[in-house]
Amino acid sequence: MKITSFIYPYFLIGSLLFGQEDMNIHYLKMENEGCKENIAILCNLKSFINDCYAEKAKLLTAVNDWIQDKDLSTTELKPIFEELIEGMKTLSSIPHPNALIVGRKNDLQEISQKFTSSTSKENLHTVFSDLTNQENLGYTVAVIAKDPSSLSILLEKIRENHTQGERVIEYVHALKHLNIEMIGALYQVLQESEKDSILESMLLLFPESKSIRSFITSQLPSEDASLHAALAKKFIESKKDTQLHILLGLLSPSQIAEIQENLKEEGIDYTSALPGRIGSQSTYCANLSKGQIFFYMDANKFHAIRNLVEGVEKDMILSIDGTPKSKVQIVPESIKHPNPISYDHNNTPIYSDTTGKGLLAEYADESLGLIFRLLGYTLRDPQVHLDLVLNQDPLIHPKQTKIGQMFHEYAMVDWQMPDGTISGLIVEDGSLGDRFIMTLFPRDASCLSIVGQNDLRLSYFSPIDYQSTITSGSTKGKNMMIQLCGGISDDHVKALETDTIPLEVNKSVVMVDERLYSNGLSLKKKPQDFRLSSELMRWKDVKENVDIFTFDQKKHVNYAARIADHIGLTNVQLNAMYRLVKRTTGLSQLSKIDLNIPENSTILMINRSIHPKGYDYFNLAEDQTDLGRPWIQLYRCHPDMWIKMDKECFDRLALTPIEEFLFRTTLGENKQENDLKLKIVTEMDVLIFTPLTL
Amino acid sequence: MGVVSMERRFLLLIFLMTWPLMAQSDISTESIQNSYSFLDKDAQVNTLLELLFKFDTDENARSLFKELLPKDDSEVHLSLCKACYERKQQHLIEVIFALIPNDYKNAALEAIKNTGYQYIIPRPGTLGSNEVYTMKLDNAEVYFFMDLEKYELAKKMVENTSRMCHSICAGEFPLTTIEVSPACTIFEEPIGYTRDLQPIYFDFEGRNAIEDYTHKVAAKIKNLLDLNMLCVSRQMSLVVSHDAMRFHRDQLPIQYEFLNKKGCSFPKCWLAQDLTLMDWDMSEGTLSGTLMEESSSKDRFYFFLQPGEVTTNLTLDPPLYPEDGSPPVYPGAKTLPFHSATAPVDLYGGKSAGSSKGKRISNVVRGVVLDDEVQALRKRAIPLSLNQAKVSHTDDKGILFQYPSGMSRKDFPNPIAISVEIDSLLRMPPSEEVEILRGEVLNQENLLNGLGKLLCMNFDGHSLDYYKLIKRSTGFSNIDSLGINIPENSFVVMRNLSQLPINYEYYPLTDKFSNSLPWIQFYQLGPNSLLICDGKNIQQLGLTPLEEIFFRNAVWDADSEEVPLLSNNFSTHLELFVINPPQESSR
Repeated sequence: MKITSFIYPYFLIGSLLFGQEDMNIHYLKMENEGCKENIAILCNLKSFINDCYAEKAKLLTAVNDWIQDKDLSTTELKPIFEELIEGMKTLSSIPHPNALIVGRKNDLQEISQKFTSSTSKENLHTVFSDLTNQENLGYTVAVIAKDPSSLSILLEKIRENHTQGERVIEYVHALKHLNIEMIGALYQVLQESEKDSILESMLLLFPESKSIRSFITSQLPSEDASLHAALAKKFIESKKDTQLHILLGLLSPSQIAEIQENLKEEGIDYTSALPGRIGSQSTYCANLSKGQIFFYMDANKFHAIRNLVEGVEKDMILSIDGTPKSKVQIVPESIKHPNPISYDHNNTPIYSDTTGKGLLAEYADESLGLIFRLLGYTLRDPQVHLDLVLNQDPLIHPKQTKIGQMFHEYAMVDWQMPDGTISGLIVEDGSLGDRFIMTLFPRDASCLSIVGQNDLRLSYFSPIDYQSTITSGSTKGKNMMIQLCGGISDDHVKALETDTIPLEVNKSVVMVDERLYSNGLSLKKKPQDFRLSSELMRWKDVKENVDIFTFDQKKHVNYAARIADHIGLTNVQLNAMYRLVKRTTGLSQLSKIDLNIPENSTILMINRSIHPKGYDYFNLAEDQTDLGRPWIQLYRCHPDMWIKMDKECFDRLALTPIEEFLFRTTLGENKQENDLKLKIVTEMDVLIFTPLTL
Repeated sequence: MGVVSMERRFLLLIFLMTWPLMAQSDISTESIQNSYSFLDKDAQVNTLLELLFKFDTDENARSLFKELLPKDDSEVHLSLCKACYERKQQHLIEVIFALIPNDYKNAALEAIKNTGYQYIIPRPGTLGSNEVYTMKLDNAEVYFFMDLEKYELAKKMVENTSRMCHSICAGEFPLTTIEVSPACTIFEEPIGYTRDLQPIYFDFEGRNAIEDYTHKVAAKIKNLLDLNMLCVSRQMSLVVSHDAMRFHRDQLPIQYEFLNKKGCSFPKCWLAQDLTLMDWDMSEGTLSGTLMEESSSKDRFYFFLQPGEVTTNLTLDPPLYPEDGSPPVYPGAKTLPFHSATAPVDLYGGKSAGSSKGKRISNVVRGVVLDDEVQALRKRAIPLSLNQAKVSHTDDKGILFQYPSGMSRKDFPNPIAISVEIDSLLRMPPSEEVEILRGEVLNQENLLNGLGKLLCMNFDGHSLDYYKLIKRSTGFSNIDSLGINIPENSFVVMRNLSQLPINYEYYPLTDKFSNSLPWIQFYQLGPNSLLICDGKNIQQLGLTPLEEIFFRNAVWDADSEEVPLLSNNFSTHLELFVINPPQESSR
C-alpha cells in the first residue's frame, strides 16, 4: 500500500470515522519520505483525535510507533510532543481513565521517554502546571518525568497548590507510580520537615509498591534512631500493627533494641509480630504429634512475596486448570507451562509468560537463600507452585511428594482481603485429630515450613469472616498460596533443632475414656445409657450471632446431678443450663456471650450438633494469636465426649465458624457433590455448676 | 435393559474408546454410524448416554449425539430421559426433546408420567422453552428465548474458557475490586505486527473464540427475533466470587459513539444487550443470576441460573437523546434498572453442597436495533406480568399497596405503634435453618384491637397465634416447609423486626422458589410496614438468603468508590401474627 503524504489526513479522518483504526497503524508504520509534511499534519490532529477516547489511545500508540522509526531533530519532534501531551491530558480527563491507562501504560511510558529526552525544562514546567490538578497526577508524573531534576518543579507545584496536610496525600498518590530512582530523587529534594510524613506514607504503601519496598529497604535503616522511634510510636498510637511490624522487620536487632528502650521509657506497650510474619525477630518451631513446623520471615522474603502478588495483578498471564482437582481453578500460566511452548528461528525458547516465569524464579532464589540462612537446608530439585485462592472451589490438599525427605514451605499472602476476614492453612494433628488454622490476616504475609513429614493433612482456604458479629459482607477478597518444596538429606533433618524458639502447642494426654489438655480442658466419654435432656427451651437472647436458649433449671436438678457424678464433680449444684445455637460464620467468643458465669464455676459442655455423614465435630475453637501463637486451635469434640473446663478456659473458647470445609472429615476433598447435605449447625448445651452452698 | 453379551460389551468398549478419535479425524460420519450400528440396542443406548452426559462439555460428543440419536425410537428416548432423572441432569432431557419430532416428544412426556418422575416445564429463556417471552422492567423490555443452537454456543464458550488466556483487571467503576477476565476482552486490538504487517494477537485463540461466539449470537438474534444487531460489541466475565460484584447501571460507550456518529437522522432505535448466563461448574443446589431492582416498587427480581443451565435475557433500552436535539454523547444515559450479578449461592435453606459453590460465566453481546423491528418482536412475544405492588388506598395512617397475587403491604409514616406482650418464646423444631419461636400473647384482645386499628379492620372475636422466625443463614427457606400450622382461612400479618446497618434495604421475604418464571421476586418490607396475606398466600413465600449483597442499597453500592466497609452481621427477624377467624361455637 503506497499512499502519498498529502492524502494522509483524509485517510486518517476516514479511518477514524469508519472504524478502520488498524489502517492508521499500517500507514504510520510505512516507510515515509515526506516526514516533515506529516509532522505538520500530525500537529493538526487534535480536532480529529477528540472523536472518542478509544481512537485517541490508538492514535497515540500509532504515533509513538512511527516516531520510533524516525530520526527526527528536537525541533521536528517538539510540535508532535505538544500534540501528544494534549492527547494525554484529554485522556486523563475522560471519566474512567484507569481502565484505559492500565491497558496502554507501556505505550505511554515509551512516548514519555521520547518526550523527556527531547524537550526542554520550560516545557516540563508547563506540563506540570496543567497536570498537578489532574486526578491521576501520580501516574502522569511517572510516565512523563524521567528526568529527576524535573521533580523539584513538581514539588514546587505541589507546595504551591496544597496545604501541608494535603501534601502527604499528594506525595503518596505520586509515590505509588514512581520507580525507585524517582522516589530516591523525590526524597532528596524533600524538606526535612516533610521526611517523616513521607516515610510514614511509604511504610503504609510498602506492601503495595515494589519501588517503595526497594527504596525503603535501603533507606530506612540508615535514618536516625529518633525517627525510627517516632514512626513506631505513631503506628502504635494509630493501631497500625502491620506497619509497625514492617518497620521493625527492616531494622537491625540493635536498632530494634533502641526503639524498644525508647518505648519502654515512655511506657508504651505494643503487640509483637506473630511468628512467621515480618517483624518477628526469630525462627520459631512448633512440635505437633506428627512433625515440626517452622515459622520465619524477613523483609526480603516479604518483598519477594509481595512482588508475586503484583506480578499476578499486572504482568502474569492466567489460565484455567481443570486437572487434577475436581473443580477448575484459575492458575498463572507460568505454572501451567513451566517449559517453553516453542522455539524461535535462533532456537531461543519462547515462553507463554516469560515475565511470570521470571517472577517465580526470583521468588524461588530469595526463598532458597533464606531457607539456607535460617535453617541450613539446600533443597534438591526445588519447585515453586503458586495458587490463587479466589473462592473455596480449589480448596485442596497442597502437593506433597512422598519420595525421600521433603521440605515443604507454605507462604500465604493477602490479596485484597477486606478488614474483618481471615484465611489460612489448616493443619490436622495426626494422632489427636485437632486442627490448627495457621492464620493469615488482611495486609499480612506469613511463612511456615514443614520438614520431613509427608503425611500431615493440610488444606487451605479463601478468606472468611473472622468475627461473628461484624462482616465484610459478600466481598471476601482473595489470597495466594506459594508452595516451595524440594528434597533434603536425612542428616539435615536431624541437625535441625538449633536456634529456634519453641512455640507451645496445647496438646492433650489420652487416658482411659478421657483426654486432658494442657490448658485444663478435659473431654470425658459419656455413659452409653445416658439420655440427654429433651425438655423445651425458651429463647433468651442473641449474642455473638449465637441464639441462647434457657432450660427450666428446676426440672434439671437430677439430670445435672447425674452428670456431675459421672465427671467426678462433688459438692456442686446446677447454677444454670443453656443451649447455644450457631448457624453463622466467624468466631463467636464465649466470653462475650454473657452467661453470667460465677468465677468459681465448673462448666460442662455437651455437643448436641448432629452433622451429616462425612463431617467431624470441630465445633469448639480457641484463637491463640493473642498468646503469640500464629494459629487458631479447633478442638475435636465428638458428642460422645463431655467437655469440662473452668471459667478461665471457657472464656478463651469460641464456637467455630460454620464453614462447611472446616468440618470435613477429610481435609482438602472438594468433590462435586450430587447429593445435598444438611447444613452444619452447632448446638451446644452449657451446664454451669457452682460449689454447693449450705 | 437386557444383559449385554461379552462380544457386544467389547464392541461398546471399542466404540467408546475410539469415538473421540473418530470424531476428530477425517473418518466420515457414515463410518461412525456403521460402527455404531454393529452394537446391539442396549449398547447403543449406553453409547448415547455416554455421549449425552458429555454433551455440555465436549463438542465432539455433541455432534455425535445429534448424529446418532434415533429420532423415531420412543423406547430409546424414554431410556435416555430416565437416565437423566437418575443422574439429576434433567436439563439434558430438553436436549433430547430439541432433537426429536414433536410427536415423539409428546410420547416421551406421556411415558415419563408413568415412570413416576416429574417433568418440569422449562421456564422462559432456558432450553426447551420454544417461545419468545417478554416483560417490562422500568424503561427496559426484557426478552427470554433459547434454542439448542444458542445453548450449544454457550456450552462451547464455557469449554473455550480453559483455552483462553486470562488476566487480572481492575473492574470498571463502580466495580473497584479486581476480577479475572479473559485477556482477549481487555486487549481486543493487536499487540504488535509482524514484518509483513500481520497483526499479532496476545491471545488469538481466545479472541477467535469470543468473536465467533459474538457473531453467531448476533446471527441467532436475527434468526429467532428478527432483530439486526448493529454496532456489535462484547464482554465476558468470569464470575468466580462476589468480589467484583456491585449494584450498577450499564453504560454502552461503543453504541453511544455509534449513535453519535450517525447523528439525529438515525431512526428510532434501542440499545440491545444479550446477557447469556452460563453454568461453569456450579455445585448442585446453587443458584446464581442477576438481581434487578424495579424503581417504583423497589421490589427486586432475581433472574436466576441453575446448574447445567444456560439462560438468555435480552434487554432493550431506549438511548437518551439530548433535549437540544443533538446526537447522543458518550457516556450517555445509564441503561437498565440498578442490578448486580451474583456468584452461585445456596438455593435451599436447609441443604447445601457445602463451601464449594462453583462459578458461572456471563457473556454479553451488545448492539443497536431499530424500533420497527422491536415493534414486530413485541407483537409476537408472549407477555409475562410482574407481581408489582400498586397503591390501592391512602389515608392519614399510611399507604396501602396491593399485589396482583393477593398480598398487600401497608407502609406507615412512623414506627408501628403496637407492642406485643408475650410470656416467653418457646423453641419449636427448627426447619430450613430457621429458628421458629412460638409465643403466648398475654393480652390477645388488645393486640388484635391494635392490629385492627392499624389495618382498618375488625378482629373482634378472632384468636391469634404468634410466631417469631429468625433466619441467619443462606438459602431460600420456604415458609410452607417450616411446619407452622397456618390455616388457609386465617389472616396473616407480618412485621419485620430485623435491624439492618445503614445503607441496607429490607428484603426479608421472597417468592417460594419455582421453575415457572425466569425470576424470583424479593419483597421489600421495612420496619415501618406490615405485610398482609391469607393463610394460602403465605405458603407461596420464603425467607431471603442472608447474602449481604442481596440487601445492599443499590444507589449507595453503585456510588461508593470504596470496597464495602465492615458492617454488623445481620439476620432476619420476622413476626407472624396468625389471626384465626372466630370459631363456630363462639359466634
